[in-house]
Amino acid sequence: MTDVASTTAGYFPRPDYLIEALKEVQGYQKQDMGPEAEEKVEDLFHRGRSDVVEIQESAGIDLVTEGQLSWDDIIAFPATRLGGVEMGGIKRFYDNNRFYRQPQVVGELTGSGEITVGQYDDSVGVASNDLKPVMAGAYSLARLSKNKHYGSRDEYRGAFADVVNEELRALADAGAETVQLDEPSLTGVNDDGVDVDDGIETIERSVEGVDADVIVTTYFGEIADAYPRLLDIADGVGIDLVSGEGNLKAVEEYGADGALAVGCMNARNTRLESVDELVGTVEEVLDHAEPDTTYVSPSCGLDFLPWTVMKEKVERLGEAAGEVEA
Amino acid sequence: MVHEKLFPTTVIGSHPKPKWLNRVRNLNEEGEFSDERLQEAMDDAVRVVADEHERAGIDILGDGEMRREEMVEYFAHRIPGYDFNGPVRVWGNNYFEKPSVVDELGDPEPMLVDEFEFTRRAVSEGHGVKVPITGPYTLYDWSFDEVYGDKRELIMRLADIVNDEIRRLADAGAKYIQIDEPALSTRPEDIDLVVEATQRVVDGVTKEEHDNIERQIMHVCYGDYGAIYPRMLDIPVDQFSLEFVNQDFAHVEEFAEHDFDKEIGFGCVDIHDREVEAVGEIKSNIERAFGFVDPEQVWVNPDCGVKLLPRDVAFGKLENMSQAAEELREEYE
Repeated sequence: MTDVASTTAGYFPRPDYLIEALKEVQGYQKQDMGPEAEEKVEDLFHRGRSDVVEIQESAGIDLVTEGQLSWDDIIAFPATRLGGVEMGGIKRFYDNNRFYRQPQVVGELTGSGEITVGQYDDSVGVASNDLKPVMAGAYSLARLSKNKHYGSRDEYRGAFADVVNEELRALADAGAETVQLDEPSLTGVNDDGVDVDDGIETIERSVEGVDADVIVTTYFGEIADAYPRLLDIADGVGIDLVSGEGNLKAVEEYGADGALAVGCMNARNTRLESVDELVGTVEEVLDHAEPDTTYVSPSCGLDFLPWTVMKEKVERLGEAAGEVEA
Repeated sequence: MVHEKLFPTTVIGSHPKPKWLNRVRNLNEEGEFSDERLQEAMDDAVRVVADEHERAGIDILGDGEMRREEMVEYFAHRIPGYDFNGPVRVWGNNYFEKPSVVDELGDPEPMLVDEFEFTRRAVSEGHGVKVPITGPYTLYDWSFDEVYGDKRELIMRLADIVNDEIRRLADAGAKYIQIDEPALSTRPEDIDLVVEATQRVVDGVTKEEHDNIERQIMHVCYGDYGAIYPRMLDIPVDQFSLEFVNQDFAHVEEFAEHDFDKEIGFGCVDIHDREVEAVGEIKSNIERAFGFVDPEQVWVNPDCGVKLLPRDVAFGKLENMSQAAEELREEYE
């Protein structure tokens, strides 16, 4: 028997008041972002995190996130908090109408273990349900940044793995029991340089010795080849069943253990799926696999949607999780 | 003709709005100011910005998109079948009202003809007016599709709508059309579809087919052009207007590997940086273009629209860019 629960995948849209407040304290350009501006609206970030947690809990979401409201994007936000990084140009984020500031690694990467802990500490108190912090994965950080320092790819990826590992350990020390580690780069969307061996090796190094359940979460495409190997090295895997057709086949072939986050709801389209549709997708997966825990999830972070649609989708997600028959 | 010289200078489209225009728009939304007052303010803003372009030395200019909030929103508000649910992030803390296709798309009333005619009257002799219009692939990609499901069907429907509008513009006397397709390289595998859609977009309005048309230009930014090169040269336009500084000139060498047989609108100032580049720096930026095209093929423009910059910085960048083009003209003529 699998336990069925619901979760979100982090990265929520910002509420209007936060967008407006940030416009006031930072400009519109890349040099305007960063910790200085964010500190000025810390109280509004807290309010936003509370609102996002409240929306999820009222919808019956079991494992909630704080929405990564302070993250401008999933690459530059963590990278700008590392030593050895400078900001480069604005780049497209996979196949989305979404862009990020490309980090350039110009020196030895050094971490502080303080990228996500502050957000976790700030929100864990307002959540009644379990709270899942989200961290960007080392392989994706390395793929989407530019190496101008390390002599070999191995060293470069290894350096990212070490700073991510430090971060995950810090989250576990802060009390997080389940952590989501985002590795969209494993899907190879818009990046034909993706190498599964490199990816697995990097992820393995980044989760080593972390005293929390790490769910390696992938989205925007399929990870067919990487899937069985993730089962071996991670406590859980997150797959996108909206944009990754091959993912269902991978589950059929290799089953699942630990936790499986089933990305059944399209987080990149405003069309509202019916609860039956969502339940159908999850049950199809469960026909072929019996993970310890099945997380009914959106296909990726909900920040690709307007705020009002996000709320409706979260409600349906909670409802769907309640109707899945395992 | 104003473009018949080396290095004609142009803008991509958007310009910072005067603060008073934003204020008037807010008052209009709050019901304090009538639509007529807003219209009057937009007209005034167009005159001011066209004048700003002229003073900065721009040859082929525009209205700075004073009447538009955003390049997809503007059209989606006018094409029947779209609906809006609220803002969605583009990058950082920058958002736009991302529309959803909720019904089969209908035919809009003319969208840009009045705007073009007004701008043409606002600029003085010796300048050209370029009209930016968002292309079908970007209109498709930057909205949610709740209805069609079939990507090609939706894109070709949008291509027809854009073509209708360009025909109206051409008939009204527009010479320079800029089809904005920043989404062009989002999915390199869609390039065939973009070629097909653009054929539809320029049908009957190529410079060979329509007496008024001088150039069909396609503007792209944020792209990994390498992934669609040289196939992108099959897109039936006369010129590509591309960003180069933001990408640190990454694609110059790739472009040189094939015969770049179109004009290039060479993005030579960074619109994501508030530092105004010196004339000398812009000149050497422009000269990077000669790595893959001849001077006769080069138009000079910023990487993209400058609306996110402070207004004085935007002006400073355009002014130095024009100065750089002028100095190069003397050196290369």
